Amino acid sequence: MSSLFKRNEFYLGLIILCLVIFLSITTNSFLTIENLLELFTSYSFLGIMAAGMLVVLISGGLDLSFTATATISQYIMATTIIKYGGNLFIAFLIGAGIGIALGLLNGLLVHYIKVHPMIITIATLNLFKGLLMFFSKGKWIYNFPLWFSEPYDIMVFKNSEGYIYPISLPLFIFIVVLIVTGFLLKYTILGRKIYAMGGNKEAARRMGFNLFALTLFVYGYMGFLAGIGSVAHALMVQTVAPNAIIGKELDVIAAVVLGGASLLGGSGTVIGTFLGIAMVAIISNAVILLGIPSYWYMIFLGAIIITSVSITAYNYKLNMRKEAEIDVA
Amino acid sequence: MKTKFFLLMLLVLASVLVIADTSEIAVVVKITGIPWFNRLEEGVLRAAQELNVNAYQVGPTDADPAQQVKIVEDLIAKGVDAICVIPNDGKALEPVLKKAREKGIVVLTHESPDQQNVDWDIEVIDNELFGKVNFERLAELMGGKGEFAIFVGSLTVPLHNYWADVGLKMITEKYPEMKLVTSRIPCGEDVNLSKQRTQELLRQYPNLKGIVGFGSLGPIGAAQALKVKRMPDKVAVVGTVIPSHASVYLKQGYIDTGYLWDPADAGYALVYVAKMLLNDFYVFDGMSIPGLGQATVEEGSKVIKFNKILEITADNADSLGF
Amino acid sequence: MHEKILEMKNVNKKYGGVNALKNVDFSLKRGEIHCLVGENGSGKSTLIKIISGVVKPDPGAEIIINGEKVKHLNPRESVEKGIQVIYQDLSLFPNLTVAENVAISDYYRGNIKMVNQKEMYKKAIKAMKKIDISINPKKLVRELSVAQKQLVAISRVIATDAEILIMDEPTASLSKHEINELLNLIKSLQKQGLTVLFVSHKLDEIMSISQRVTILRDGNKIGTFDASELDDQKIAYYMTGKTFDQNEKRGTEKFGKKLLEIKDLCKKRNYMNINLELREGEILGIIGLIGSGRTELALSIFGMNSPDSGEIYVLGERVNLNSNYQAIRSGIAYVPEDRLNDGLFLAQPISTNIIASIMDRLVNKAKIFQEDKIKKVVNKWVHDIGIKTDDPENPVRTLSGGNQQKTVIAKWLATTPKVLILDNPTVGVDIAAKHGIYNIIKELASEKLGIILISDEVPEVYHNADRILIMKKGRIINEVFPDEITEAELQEMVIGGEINV
Repeated sequence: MSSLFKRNEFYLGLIILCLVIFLSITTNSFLTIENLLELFTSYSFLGIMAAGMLVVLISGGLDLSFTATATISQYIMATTIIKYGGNLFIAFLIGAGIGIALGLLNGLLVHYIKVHPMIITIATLNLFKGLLMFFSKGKWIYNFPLWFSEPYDIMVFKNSEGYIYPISLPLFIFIVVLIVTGFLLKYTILGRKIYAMGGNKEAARRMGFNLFALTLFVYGYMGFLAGIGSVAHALMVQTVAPNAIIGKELDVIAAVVLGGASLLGGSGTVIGTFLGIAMVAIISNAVILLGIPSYWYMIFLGAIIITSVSITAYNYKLNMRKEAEIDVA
Repeated sequence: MKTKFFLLMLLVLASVLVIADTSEIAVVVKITGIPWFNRLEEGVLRAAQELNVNAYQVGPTDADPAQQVKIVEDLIAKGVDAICVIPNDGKALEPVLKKAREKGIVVLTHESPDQQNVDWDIEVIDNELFGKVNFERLAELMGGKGEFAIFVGSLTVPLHNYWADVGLKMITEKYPEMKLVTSRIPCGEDVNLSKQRTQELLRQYPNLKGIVGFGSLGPIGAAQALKVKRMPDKVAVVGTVIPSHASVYLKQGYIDTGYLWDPADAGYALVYVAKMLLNDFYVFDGMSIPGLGQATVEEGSKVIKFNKILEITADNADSLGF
Repeated sequence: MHEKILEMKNVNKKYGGVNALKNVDFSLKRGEIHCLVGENGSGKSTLIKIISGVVKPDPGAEIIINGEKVKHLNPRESVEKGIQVIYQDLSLFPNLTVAENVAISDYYRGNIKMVNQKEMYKKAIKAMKKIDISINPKKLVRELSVAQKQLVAISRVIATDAEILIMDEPTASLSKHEINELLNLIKSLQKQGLTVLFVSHKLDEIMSISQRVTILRDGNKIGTFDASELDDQKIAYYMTGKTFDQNEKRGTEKFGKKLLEIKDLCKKRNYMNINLELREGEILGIIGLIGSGRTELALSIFGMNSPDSGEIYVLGERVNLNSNYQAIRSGIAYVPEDRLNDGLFLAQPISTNIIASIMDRLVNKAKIFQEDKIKKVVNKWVHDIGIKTDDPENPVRTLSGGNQQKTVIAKWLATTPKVLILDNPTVGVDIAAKHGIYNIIKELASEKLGIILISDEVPEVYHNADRILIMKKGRIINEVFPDEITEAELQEMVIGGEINV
């Protein structure tokens, strides 16, 4: 029980709970299945990528290029299905395939160049972005085939007024990705090795873990989820534009870090990441529901990140102090 | 005598054409490779062909003022005859535009009515009118009463907020029964966010009757939110859209009317006026340019204004060519 | 079963032009505790790395494990042959649980496979039981103390059914009490049949547990000896080729005026009722274990740990020390125990480190550095303290531990202090450098500096201090003069001493 209070997730959950209670009292539409479904659908593609980012951060790495990876996957997927047709499965297959390829490239560079992954992925971000602009000429794509424009809903609800609100495919994928990633990290040997590598890379090397394979997997997985997320995004907005996802990398990293993952590697959980995304989503939601000017979103988000990080830091300090205390007789 | 005069005239005309052939007109856009300026380039190239000048379009790969300055400097060094700029930052360009004019180069701008060191600034639309037209259409669709919301690209885009300002002023004066539900929402450049915001608005303000969206993705996102709910007629959606992008939503009734101007018109007008000035023609109030109609010329502020607001409907969306 | 569990013949290793090891023969007898001794750079770590398969010896070497000749030893094969190394940094995963750290070898194979949590805990608990420790296996390793971490590292070795355990300087960051427990544990491992190769340069540890000792110097094996043949003096001689007189006492000197006086200093959860005084030319030893409050007290005198109550006088004048800046201005200097983190800028030149605390004194009126002045100061201290370097512009990183410590001392001496506090000045420093530092301390005292020497090594304080305060649980429990008691008596007082208030 005492370990619960040390956990970042606990405090984040507490803040979210306070927000939820506050919003349920002050607005009449926040705590409705309809609102929550739509809200999380809207954040599902960021959530899918956040799960990838979590794995990268736990391994002690960082990837700033995943939004460019996602956009390239989106473009190639879109032009292919428009030109040659296909079905939803093929669309996801293309997106995931391109994502994995670009992710593996990141993994290779990170492993062999041995420079901080931030530098390497800033470089690949620019490289990918430049190539994308060169080949796509920045054209927007919105003439999708009809089968792609249909709503793919897993479950459909109707409210009293007869308007419908679904569990959409992107939301469903988001949930599946969270479960799979959580399982991978917590229960598989591979996941534990990723934690180990992030906790102490040198020790992992001495243990004889194959760091190269682990690095490839981690960045490949990030690329895979960037690809999947990008197809989910295209399904949702029916538009592929060069700047729709690029530029959101810091939002994703902020949500994951808010959820307790450390930029130094070795820590973070799927539950925390979900809470991080949820926090960002709820604050964004609150702005409209409360009818307050939109810049409050930024003010609240900044304040909450500082508060949350301070609590973690304060807990850490408390622990340190406990160790340093001397039992003066 | 008459034939002699005629021959002389022919000679003069020929020489003008020869001179015209050598004049070089460069159009510097904010950023290359995005659909908007690709369309603008079409106008530039059409004018080049029709007017028989060497006109072309250049621009930086990022919307970066410094890169634009560099490009203009290079054009001066190259010795072009006219430079037309759509500035990322008007202030940053002042010194280099001054330098260009001192070298005798004709300098024109677009979307920058306050520019100092220019021969003329050309505006394809009257921004005050543009704002009013959007809101007037919204009021019409809403029957002059009810709740509505405004999307802008961001709170720092001057044009979007200017349109919203004049529109709102008109609404309060003319349609007192119309009510803005919340302050303007910055989501118009992001489909997903516009969609989310629309969903939130629909829930929190069930009586919402209209949305004006500035920024080319605002109305698209609003339309998609309405489409998920299969309710085309509940909320009136107007605003700026790219015709081909909005086409499907216009046809299904999720977007009612789009307003825009054709960037190709701007490109055409820039090259046309540059060529006029290079050939020593005068600019005067009431002059007209093929396809753009008559211009209002403000001598004091050096602005040539056309009124070429493009109304986009289900009927014309597919035929506009962009 | 071969009597010799490990045998190495004719081991050479050249790095570039440097001979790290020259024709070394080495063997481990089954079930012994064998100590490997040598100064920094003597070839100890290279030898360990060859045994663990991390480094390949030059051709011609022969390695025989359990009577079986091994051709190419790599890390994995070394582990499979039952060799485990506990490095100085312990190689633990701070973010994983105790159980995972102990049973980490389960993770060698299979990636998609699920972790068998139940088996893992069973394995971990079994291993910990074997060495009779109980740490909650669900706890994260980062929440453990250094000593507990060490136990986890040892449990990990137990869990792999190792036959040879190599420990690289395992006691470096432990307190005296913890060291004793560790040494006892190693003895019990031996009883369970493990062969232990123990690397250390703490002479008393070597003497207390090992059966045989191998001494290396400059890549040469000086010899392997029965521990009973050796004593401190001999080991020091074999390691360095020089003799040191441990008992070189300072003449009873007349101490000068009172430099520092502390009255009733208290700080909650740190220390209580501290009274002490220090005179010019005096070396005051403070001995106490980690957690006795000695470092906290030292930090308070240096202005970095404000006391709750009490008074501090410097040269008879009451001072308020709320920051180290004030302390430096009052003439107090402090050489921290953790020189790598607290005392040095490792990547910066030696010269920059030396002038780091006196930069404001080396500028002209326009606040620009006066290069010639800097050079003078740096050269003076490099020479006076005897820092061994070709060029004071080399980064501190390139120096040996002893010379790094000298650099820290030089840095503080450059502030021309009246009182110099040294917190465990010889941790991780080899024996020759140790004596160098002792000589510097005595030299400084004879130049009228007042020195507070804090240590948890009894001989260090006993042989160098003029007067010794013993601290325990935040209080000064006793004051003794080394010429009135024996070293053993002092040892007894520190470990077992009652609180006589």
